[in-house]
Amino acid sequence: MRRSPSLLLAFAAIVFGWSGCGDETLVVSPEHAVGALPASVPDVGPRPNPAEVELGRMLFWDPILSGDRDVACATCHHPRHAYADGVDRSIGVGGIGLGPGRKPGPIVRRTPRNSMTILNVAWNGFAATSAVSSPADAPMFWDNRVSSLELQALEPVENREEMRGDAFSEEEIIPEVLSRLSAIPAYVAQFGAAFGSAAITRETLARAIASFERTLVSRSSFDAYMAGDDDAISHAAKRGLLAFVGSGCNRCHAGPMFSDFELHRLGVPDVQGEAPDPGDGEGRFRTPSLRNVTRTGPFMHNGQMRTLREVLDFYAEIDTSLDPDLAEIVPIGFDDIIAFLDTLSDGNFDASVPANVPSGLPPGGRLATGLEN
Amino acid sequence: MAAVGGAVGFMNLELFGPGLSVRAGVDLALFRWASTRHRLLVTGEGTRFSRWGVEADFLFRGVQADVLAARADWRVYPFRSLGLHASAGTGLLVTRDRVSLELPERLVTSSDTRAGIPFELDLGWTIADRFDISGRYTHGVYLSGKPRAFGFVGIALGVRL
Repeated sequence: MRRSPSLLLAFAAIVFGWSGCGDETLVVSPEHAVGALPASVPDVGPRPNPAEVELGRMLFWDPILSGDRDVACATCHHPRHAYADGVDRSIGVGGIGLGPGRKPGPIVRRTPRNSMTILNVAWNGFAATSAVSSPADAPMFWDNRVSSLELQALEPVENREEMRGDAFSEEEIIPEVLSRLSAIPAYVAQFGAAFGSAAITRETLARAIASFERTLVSRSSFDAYMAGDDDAISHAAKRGLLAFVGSGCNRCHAGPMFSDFELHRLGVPDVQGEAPDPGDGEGRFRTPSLRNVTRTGPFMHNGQMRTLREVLDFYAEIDTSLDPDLAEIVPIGFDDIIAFLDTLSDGNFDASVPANVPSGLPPGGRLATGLEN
Repeated sequence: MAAVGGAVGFMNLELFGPGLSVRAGVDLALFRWASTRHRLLVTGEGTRFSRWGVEADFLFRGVQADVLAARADWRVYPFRSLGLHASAGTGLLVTRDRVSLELPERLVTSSDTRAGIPFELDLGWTIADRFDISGRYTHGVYLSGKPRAFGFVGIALGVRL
């Protein structure tokens, strides 16, 4: 007789435990929703012809755009590093090598900021509930200092630490680059095929590079899941998505790009021994996209966090008074969040490297250290 | 002797919130060595980790975990006149966790059931003739998948019938 109560209660526990009572659903509001990339890149007016895109690809890889002919756009936006560079702060003019193995030159050491990936940059400005009305309004750089990919494209060329160096002034460098390109018959022919005129201008140069960059698209397993493939991401990743949302990460990392493209003050530690980066002038930096985030560390505007775990630990201890959106942050379930973030990364993008560029210079600049062999 | 009990616990995966469990089984006298009594508890236990209707930002909606375990625990009472006891046990467990998230584009639902081995340490006190209270730590190691392990601490109440 004494065994009866125990058996009864054990049975009750099983029914209680598995009945599904108490199930709840976390509902995400539209303004903080995350979602798949749109089916197509946004219209930028007349669709670029293949010649324009190919010209942009050559220019992207050609170090002739830099003052000392040693740095290309691809130097710090290389497909091997998901079109970022894998270092905390980029090494532009004078540097030798690729990625974390790149060594700074003797004069200009590093740029002040981390290189953002340009994969999916065509959707910059596409937030959760509002998209930019025109690609001409798409915010660019860590401080949103310019709008549109066309305006962005030549900024690094004019920047001393990135591509210009000391041989030319900011006013001199673009005319110098245009002069160099005009002296190369292959470029003259390519500009003619792309734009119907052999005249090489600042506008056509920028437009060609931007048109190529808009072709750099990376759709991930998360996009496949959102399109209806239930098995495209793991259960842990789905739990991580819920933890991502439940933790409040989507207060800023929302929309198809997982960014609100707004400026926020986070209090990220400054680089030791260097002056604080003023960001937009008020210490604020743009929310970076989380697309391909597991392939594009180190993290934050100055690359001071080497792992996503460090980033999540930082948010767990963050001063919530710095920004109104931080008050909603409750970081929980880090392993699951990282599993989810991995579903936003995918190696299925154009990783081709041209064998040569019209200038005859090494594609991508001085990427070889001479130590490879 | 039959035994029943219950516990509240907090899983180290804070995601799932507090857990409540019901446990039942038999409490068998094994032997006595000097003043130390040795007993064996063979029990089954069901635990649910959920919000339990608690409205708090640090407990997420849309996640829930159930743990079913069958365990054998070796329990010792080292002092004849005191109710202090300690036990260690192991057995088999099955966990099932579920997520449910509604995005504007789609409903995200998923569940995952996995088997593992629990390891439990328990330190307690007999507070009345047949009533025990104890603090315990349960560590579960999954046989496959990730995460590989989980753990939770709890406060358990037991009755020996």
